[in-house]
Amino acid sequence: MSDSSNQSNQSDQTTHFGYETVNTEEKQAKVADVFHSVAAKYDIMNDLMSFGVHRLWKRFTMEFTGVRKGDHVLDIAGGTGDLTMKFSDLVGPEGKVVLADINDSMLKVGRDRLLDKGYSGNIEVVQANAESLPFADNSFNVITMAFGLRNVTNKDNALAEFNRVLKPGGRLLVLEFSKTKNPLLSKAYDIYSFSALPMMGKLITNDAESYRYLAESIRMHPDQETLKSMFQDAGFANCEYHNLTGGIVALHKGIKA
Amino acid sequence: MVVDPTIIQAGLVSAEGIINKALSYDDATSQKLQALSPKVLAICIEQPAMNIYVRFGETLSLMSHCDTPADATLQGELSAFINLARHQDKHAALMQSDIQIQGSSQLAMGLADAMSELNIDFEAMIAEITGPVAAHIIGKNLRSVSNWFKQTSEKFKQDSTEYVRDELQLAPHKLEGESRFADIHKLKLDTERLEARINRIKQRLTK
Repeated sequence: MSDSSNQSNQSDQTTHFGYETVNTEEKQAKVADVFHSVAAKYDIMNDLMSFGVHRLWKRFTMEFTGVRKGDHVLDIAGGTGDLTMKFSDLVGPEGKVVLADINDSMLKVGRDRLLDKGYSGNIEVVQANAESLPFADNSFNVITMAFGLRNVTNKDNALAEFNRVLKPGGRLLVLEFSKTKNPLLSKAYDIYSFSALPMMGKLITNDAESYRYLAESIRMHPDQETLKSMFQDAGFANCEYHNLTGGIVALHKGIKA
Repeated sequence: MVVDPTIIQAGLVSAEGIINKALSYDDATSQKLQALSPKVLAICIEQPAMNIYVRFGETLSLMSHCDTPADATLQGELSAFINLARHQDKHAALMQSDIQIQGSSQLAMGLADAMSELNIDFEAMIAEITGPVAAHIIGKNLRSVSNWFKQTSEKFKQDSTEYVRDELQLAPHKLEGESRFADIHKLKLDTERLEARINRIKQRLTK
């Protein structure tokens, strides 16, 4: 085997965990640890860290789903079920919503929250890896992934899987942190994410490292145009994105051709 | 000017909450609006460019994006919509305004009628916090204070108009103004006629 192919194999087996370079197998376990640690206080931390603005980003995402009564929806990396509850109301008893997450701690919090709020009947809770979804081809009208894609080890595999399980004409919506082009906002955002976020994490969940990972993983996530081209490479048509809060977050949309 | 979607969403969430809360204290209007379900009304504001979609259902939903085509569209400048919101008779105000209506005018007028007849039961709102007896006393006092402000503001408006017009003589009387405008209009027509005659004479001389 040549040197170059050796190097290529080596780089294939490594990936980013925040600013660290780790083996691909290791990333999944490390991400799992992060979410096991934050699951119990995930909602309160989201509200604190984003000053409640994450609700507005999710509301904006809902407007683009075009979900109707009877639709089948997959809320992958759905965590504590924010979007699942809204989908459950929209699809009605004849529809189905699958709340899926790779992390069982998050899923337990989500499932309990749904039951506490009286949601059941048209909701299934499934522990699933976005890179190998346990669903048949052409199963869903809509797939949403809010703040989950940057934690996936191989994003291209996940996008290909979304394309496989979507019905033709179905839509994929990915809400994720992105890159702002405003230099002032970028500076303020850097100070906030690398100083304030770990401090908040330490105070609320006694875990600064997980929130340092959050800030680092956001910086390592592909920018708007790169993610759009990844959508196109995965076979999605009519790909577009919408910047929110100056590009701190972006909503990407693609239709299965 | 493009407004960030987050700011629009914040505005929509607040407005939706206030409207639905107000409607919960006016069953008649609420039922009229529910009858319009599942129609969608688009409000297209030109400056600043912004589209708002109103979906009728058990509650009103305000959205910045809607995939389904709107049943009716109201298009105009922000000032025209603010002006419309201030009028008591929204049906008449909508007919006279610069707002263009496309699609089902029945839906737009239905909404205008329902909003004109909006009669929020503030006493029920207060009663939720204080109980019915205290709410009745507070409501009675609030109504008398509100009436006093209303009468005082109308009287102030009338007195200040008379003071500026009659005492200071800074503004003409309405009839004087109308007479002056009629004279100006007549002068404008005479000038246009004179200009036409001069042009005709010029054409004859050049032949």
